[in-house]
Parts: sequence; structure tokens; C-alpha cells
Amino acid sequence: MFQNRYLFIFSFFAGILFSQPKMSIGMDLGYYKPVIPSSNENQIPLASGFSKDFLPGFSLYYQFFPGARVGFAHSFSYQSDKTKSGTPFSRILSYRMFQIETYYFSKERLEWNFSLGPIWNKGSINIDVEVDVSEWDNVLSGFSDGDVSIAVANSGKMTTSWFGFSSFIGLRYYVRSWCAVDIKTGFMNNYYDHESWKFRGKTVTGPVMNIDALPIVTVKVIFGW
Amino acid sequence: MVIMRIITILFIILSPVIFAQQKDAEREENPCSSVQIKKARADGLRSLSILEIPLYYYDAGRCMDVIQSNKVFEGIEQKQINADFTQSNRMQGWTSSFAYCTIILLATSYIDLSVSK
Repeated sequence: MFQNRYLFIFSFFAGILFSQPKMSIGMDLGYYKPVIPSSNENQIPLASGFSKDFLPGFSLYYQFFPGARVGFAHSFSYQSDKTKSGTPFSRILSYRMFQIETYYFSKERLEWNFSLGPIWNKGSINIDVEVDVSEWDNVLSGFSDGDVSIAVANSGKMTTSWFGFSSFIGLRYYVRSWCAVDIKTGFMNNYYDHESWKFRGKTVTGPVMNIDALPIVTVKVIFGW
Repeated sequence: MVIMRIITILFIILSPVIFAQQKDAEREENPCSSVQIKKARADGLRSLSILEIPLYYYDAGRCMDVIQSNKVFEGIEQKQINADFTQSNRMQGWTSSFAYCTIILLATSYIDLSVSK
């Protein structure tokens, strides 16, 4: 059955396609200094360099008012390494910012912007381990003459979410009317709780990370119309 | 029934494109007088819709080849930059209040961080 929601979606996208866009998309690289310690008890090795301090990301904004935009910015920190016992793992911290941004031009091509909004973050640690599963070995051995033992990949992920808010002041230079470079300095306040990670539906304790108050600098390339 | 509805909706969405554009032959002959270029010259680049933007840049490229100059399009670009500046060269009403809130929050966060260290 054709549902009304499809009509709504069609109308929504048709409106975007046929109206003045007032949208901008951006790619950005941020730099911050989180404290993510490691210890002898913690199997996760110490992150450093790009996997710790740099936040690549993207953003999407819509100008809803002269001098004001609303948008979404997503930055993430990614670490891919091996645990101290040699098992591959990956760690992702995603910072998802829902922002309102007001701006004004102090000179032609030169814009000051001010962003404020909540952030809904997510952290995940994924470990891929190979284990021997006796049931599979029994089944496979049953089809052949000798014993067969093949390791089976077993992937598990622990996740957590936490709330925060961000504030930024930026200086944007328009190289063209549709292309700009934006440098922002800002602050992220996070309410991270290392005791509220989830693993297979159960609450577990995760790594202690000191990310409550994080100054951040980002450089963005913006394309917009 | 469902297919008919989809076709009807697609027709409604696409009919402005199908019926409102210049004929291809007309655009091929004289790209400098395309609807998108005229619209951009009259009302600025931001008056173009997402569908019209690629057509504009396509026609602009061909027009520059014909007239061997990009001054017209540099003019359109500069006009848009001037318009953007004129439209938003000051903060008024709630936008300035919002900016002050951001500045205060940012300053407070930095001061709090430096004091806690």
C-alpha cells in the first residue's frame, strides 16, 4: 500500500531540489587533546598521534534565517591496533553535534560565526577474535576422514553513549561565493561515565577517559550555495 | 495502483523541469543567453535551485569559450559576494544574543579549565 509518508518524503526532496538551496556541506579536521590513559590491567594500548588527537569529520548546515544556520557536525576519533595479547581491535569515539550557528560578515568574504548546541556522543570498542568452536569442528570432522579444526571469527563490540554540549567561534573566508575555509576554536563539555558501557546487553565498566572538558580547534572546507 | 501513484507524483515533480526549460537547440546555439545565466545575472547565484546550478556552470563554461572572457561570470560572483555581505554585515535581534551566549559559555569553559588545572 502506498503510504502518505512517501508523499511527504517526495514533497520534502522536491522542495529542496526546486528551491534556493541555502545548504552547505563541509569536511573538517579537528585537533584536541583527550586523556585516554592505558594501564597494565587495560588491554587496550595507548593511542597516540592521529588516532588520539585528530578528529576528521563532516558537517551539513541549512541557513534558516538571514545570519543563522542549523546543522549537524560529526567528528570521530578512530584507533585501530592490536591488544596487548595481539588481537586486532578498533576504538571509535563519535562526536555528533547538533548546532545552531549565527554569523555576520565583518568584511567582504570574511565571516565570524558562533555555534552552540548539544552533542550526543558514542564510543565503541570492537574486538575480532578467532576461536575454536567444537560444534563446527565436529560437523566438519564428520564429513571427512580425519579431524578438522578451523578457527571461527567471533566479533564483539562494547558501546556507550554520553551527552555533552559544544560551543565554537569561527572565522570563515570565502574563496568563492560557494567555497570557504573556516577555522574554529571551541570547547566540548562531555558527561562521560566509564561505568555505563554496554556489552551484549549487560552494563560493564569501560576505559577511564578524561574527556570532560576539551578545547578543540578545527579547520573546515565548506561548500555551499 | 501504486505504480500509477508513483508515476503521477514523479510527473508532478518533474513537469517543471520538462516544460519550463529552454529547448536544447536554443541553449546549444547561444549558451550565454541560457535561462540560468540570465537568472544569475538578474537575481544572483543564490537564486538558482540545486537543479539549476549544474546547468548554470555548464552553460557558463561554454559561454566563456564563446566570448573568450570570464569577466561576466566574475561579475556575477562578485555581485553575490557583495549581496552576502550586505545581507549579513551586522547582527540583529536574537542572533547577536545567541553570539554573546556562545562567547560567554566559551570564555567560562576556558576559565574553568585553567582554574581547575
